[in-house]
Amino acid sequence: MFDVHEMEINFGPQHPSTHGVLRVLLSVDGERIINAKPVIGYLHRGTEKLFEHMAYPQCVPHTDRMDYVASATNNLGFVEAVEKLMGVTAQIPKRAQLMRVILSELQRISSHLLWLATHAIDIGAMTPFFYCFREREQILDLFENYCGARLTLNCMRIGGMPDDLPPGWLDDLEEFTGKFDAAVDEYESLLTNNRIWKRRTVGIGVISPEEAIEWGVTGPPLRGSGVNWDLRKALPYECYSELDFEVPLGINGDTYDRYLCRMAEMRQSNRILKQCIPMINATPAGDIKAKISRVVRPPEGEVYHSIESPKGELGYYIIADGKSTNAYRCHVRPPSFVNLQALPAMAKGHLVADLVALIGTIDIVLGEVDR
Amino acid sequence: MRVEHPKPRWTDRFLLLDLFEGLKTTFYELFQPKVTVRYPEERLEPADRFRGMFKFSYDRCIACKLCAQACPIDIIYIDVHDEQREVDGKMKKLKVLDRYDIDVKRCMFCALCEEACPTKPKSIWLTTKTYELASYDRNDLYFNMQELEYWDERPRYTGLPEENAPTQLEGQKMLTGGHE
Amino acid sequence: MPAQKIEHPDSIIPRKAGVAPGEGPEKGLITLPGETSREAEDLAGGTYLTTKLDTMVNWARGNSLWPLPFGTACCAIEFMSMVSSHYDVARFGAEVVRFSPRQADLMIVAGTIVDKMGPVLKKIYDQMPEPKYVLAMGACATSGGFYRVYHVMQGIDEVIPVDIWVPGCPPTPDGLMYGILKLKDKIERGEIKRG
Repeated sequence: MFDVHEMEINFGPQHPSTHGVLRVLLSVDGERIINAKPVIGYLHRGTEKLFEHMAYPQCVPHTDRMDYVASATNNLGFVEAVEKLMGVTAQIPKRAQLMRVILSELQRISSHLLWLATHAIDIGAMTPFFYCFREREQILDLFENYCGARLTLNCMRIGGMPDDLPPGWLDDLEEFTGKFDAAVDEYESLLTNNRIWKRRTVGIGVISPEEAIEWGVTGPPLRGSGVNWDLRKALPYECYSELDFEVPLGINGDTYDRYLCRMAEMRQSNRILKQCIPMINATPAGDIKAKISRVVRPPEGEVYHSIESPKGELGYYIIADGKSTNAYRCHVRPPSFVNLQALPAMAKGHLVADLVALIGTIDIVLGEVDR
Repeated sequence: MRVEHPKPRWTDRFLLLDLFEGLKTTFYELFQPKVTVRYPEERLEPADRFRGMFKFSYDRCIACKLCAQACPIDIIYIDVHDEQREVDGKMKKLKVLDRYDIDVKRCMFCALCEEACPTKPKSIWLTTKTYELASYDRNDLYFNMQELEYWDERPRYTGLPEENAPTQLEGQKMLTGGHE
Repeated sequence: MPAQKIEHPDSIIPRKAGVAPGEGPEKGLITLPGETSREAEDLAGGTYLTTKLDTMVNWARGNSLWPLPFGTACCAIEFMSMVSSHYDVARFGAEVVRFSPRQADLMIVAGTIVDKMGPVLKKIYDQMPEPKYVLAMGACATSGGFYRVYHVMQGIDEVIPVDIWVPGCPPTPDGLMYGILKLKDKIERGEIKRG
């Protein structure tokens, strides 16, 4: 009567809640998951190999397409890695640094908004989707005004920024930051106390701090377990060390805590943005580029540089041979790929319906997993 | 900073107050102004820096091929030949552009070509505020020099107004040139 | 984005079936010589013989497209933008996003299709009931885009027929909506005959 009848079913690759083309091979006993095995490679585009055949500035638009919901942070990681390799990090003007911080914090908010929208719609709450996209469009409009694209921004260059801020942009930003906290309150009023939301998330996919560190999980899934590790604080890059913000940490390490962490992160990002506006007004306009040669040819050597992307630690490892204008090898350490490893451990023993919540909560982007 | 869990309320056991909290928000939003843009009738003007369809100027172009070099995917095809021409009474060797094709169907609209262009104003630019590019045939998305320069600026979708529409018979005549 | 809206009270979205397509603004922005002659051929052949019933059926089909988003990459995010509050494709009767191919009739292929995904795409297309239409969204689905590598499909017409191509990386929601409107026109003209 209590025999285990193991059955294998496919989840994906074409499934609305896999956030792309993830395929999960499930072994189930009735509704219980015995084992979940992610199968990847349905979006492998060979980005790392393509980097070897392109000059460094040409790689920047390709980094957009890896984590396409957070392309500004991807640009930032690559650009900073090359700058570190060339040894020009200290020459980047203050204004360019602040612009980078503003763009990546806006990108963090927009990425978390997209995560909230899709995560909620996967679990069954339709309304937050429309509200989140309303605020997200405002951020995308800011991006469009700055660099001319909505999603794949290509908004950073090696040694600085492509353009100065257009007139009136900071006013728009100020207006947005003024309204955004109320918008987060609105999302929270829909979800935080809601009993259906709690039933679907509390106690689902618990991952202990030790386990999280063992799996190499970074970003909100790690902080949801209560490990205080944020690269903006631990290894500050750009001018994050001058900014005042806090790192939200979860308590139980379940899906609900990760949700609370991301909501708090959005508020903190908004706080950073508010601090940046007076700082950037104090810098001279037009001072956005370091004086480096047009042809980027780093000296022979290798570098690993990582930043805190909305999904976790995003690292670029670049080897330069010193002679050519393209990298000898470029490896990307994508946060989604590493975070996805924790899925089998999190899914064990849960129901099939909870798998949807779990894939949502680790916030993977398949473009980054497969690269 | 630890996140704050909402405190359990004793009313949660028998009242559905938490659900009404969300309903209050949706009810409030019911009376907010609508954000929807009715696209074909009203078109949101893209930003000044919006990267849309290419436009090219033959007169400004100096055939330096920097745009083709900057392109990450090599979709700009340029052919140039040298020519002796008389400029201000002197014979000068000039570069003449034979071919300037862009394979827009492969383009990722990164605007690195525009950035690389040395002429002022730019001879290739993407800030045309045009995004209506859908086509029934994929091969129509390969543009040569003339098409890039002289495409028709008709930046919105409209249906055909009924009163101006030719009848089927007129359409037939237009096709056959009046011959039956 | 400067919120400058251009109001055009005279514009009419539904257009008369059987009208010479080369003349109307429905051709869109860029007029190419090939397109005109091809559409003229269509007019002489198919559309002229369209009966009233066909016109009505085509009108109904064009105004009730149920999309199946085959979203693999960046374009899927812009598709979500189009469905959501700001652009709201429900105004054209296409809001019923179906994730089951058996309930959908417009397949929006949004994103890179690599060779590993190709069989899946073909299978899902085969599962869709007739009449079915395919919209290739973005540079990757249109032509492989900038992934000129051996394992990326150079355009999805290698495996399935495509009715309309929307380039851009990714196309803006307006651009995609323009593609859907063009497809609607094509359906209403009765040009798509398959199966």
